[in-house]
Amino acid sequence: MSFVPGDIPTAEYEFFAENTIVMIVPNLTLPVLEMIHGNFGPFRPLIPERVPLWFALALKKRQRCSIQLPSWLGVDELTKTLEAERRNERFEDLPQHFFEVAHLLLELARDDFGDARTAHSVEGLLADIEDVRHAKMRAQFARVELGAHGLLGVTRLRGLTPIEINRIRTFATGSLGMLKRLRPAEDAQTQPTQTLPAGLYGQQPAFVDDRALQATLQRRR
Amino acid sequence: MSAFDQMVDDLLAEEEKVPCEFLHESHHLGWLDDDGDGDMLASGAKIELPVYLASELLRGNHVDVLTPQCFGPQTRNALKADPDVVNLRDKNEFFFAHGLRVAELTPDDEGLPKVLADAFEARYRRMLDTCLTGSDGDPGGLTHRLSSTESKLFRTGLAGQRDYQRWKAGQAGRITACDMIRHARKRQRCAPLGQSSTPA
Repeated sequence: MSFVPGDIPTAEYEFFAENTIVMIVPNLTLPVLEMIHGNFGPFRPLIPERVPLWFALALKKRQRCSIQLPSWLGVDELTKTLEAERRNERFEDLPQHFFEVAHLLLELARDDFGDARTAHSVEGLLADIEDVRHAKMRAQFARVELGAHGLLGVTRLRGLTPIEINRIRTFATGSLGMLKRLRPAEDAQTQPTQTLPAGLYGQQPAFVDDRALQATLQRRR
Repeated sequence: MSAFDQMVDDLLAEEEKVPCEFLHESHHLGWLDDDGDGDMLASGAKIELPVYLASELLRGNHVDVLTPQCFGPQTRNALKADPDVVNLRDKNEFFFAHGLRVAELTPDDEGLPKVLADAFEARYRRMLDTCLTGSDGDPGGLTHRLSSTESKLFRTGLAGQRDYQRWKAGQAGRITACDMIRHARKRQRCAPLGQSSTPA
């Protein structure tokens, strides 16, 4: 995979996501850990503690903790999200690293989901949510057109998570940039003249036409 | 597709030729015309000149720039009928970058900017769909029809999509052979000088 400068590989978003704070239940004793993000711990067996995801996963790999899943990763919550996503045209507000965290937890902490069936249905729901959102995003970008005042059409990208945007970012910015070059906004020449409150500057026009000014000056000469 | 790529395309497009008509007799310019002989260029002579030269001559009011054939009525009708299937690479490799310059040089030709913009918009939608489905290969020979700018965009779009799919499949972290090596059948080794290499 070769990357153009400016592209961010998807794996890097996973890396960013590892700073998300999760709750773990450790089964070891550790003193307070002083990190740039703050202090974590002290850790005592069976006492829940907040830690960054990367640390939780490192402990998990050594079977030193169990991870408490974020509330949005339950089957009920995901079902609700999926329904809302299907119902509304706008994108649901998801946690910033929704897909990355879910992906990591499903991969490395599968036993914390309870039984295999739960994990499986969570996987299915996540895939559905992703597909629905992807289809919506595609529809949004297909609607793009340039109007008199610039880009029209893409109005509802709010709520997309960074990793979803990254899938299409370079293509979309490049294409829309090209489209804007090919069809410059028509209001470039006919900008609505700003009208200032009359009381402030008297009856003087706020915008002086350059040619009119030149003509006046020439007449005076 | 970065801003840099676009600048490179713009620069390369400056070399594309446009037909020019000389408005008056020009001395010492006979060499511009391959068929002509002598030192003089007659008034009304039609010669294809690169854009960078034509734009300068136009500024000095020495020439009239005519619309090149690749933006002629035939292309316009084809683009109007179905923008997707027109092979722009055959018309001109830098169709849009060149088109923008030609539109600048021929302000009388008011239809051209709209033709370009409409065509790009329609083709953008097609590329968007193909990119986002992330299908393998080259459906419908799409890449052969794309102009340079489009094909750069398309490739970055597809790369982003494939990268995402690779990440989802859990292959992102692993080191894999680059595409060039995987696709190359068998590369001929560089034989040291003096030895004959056996064909692969």
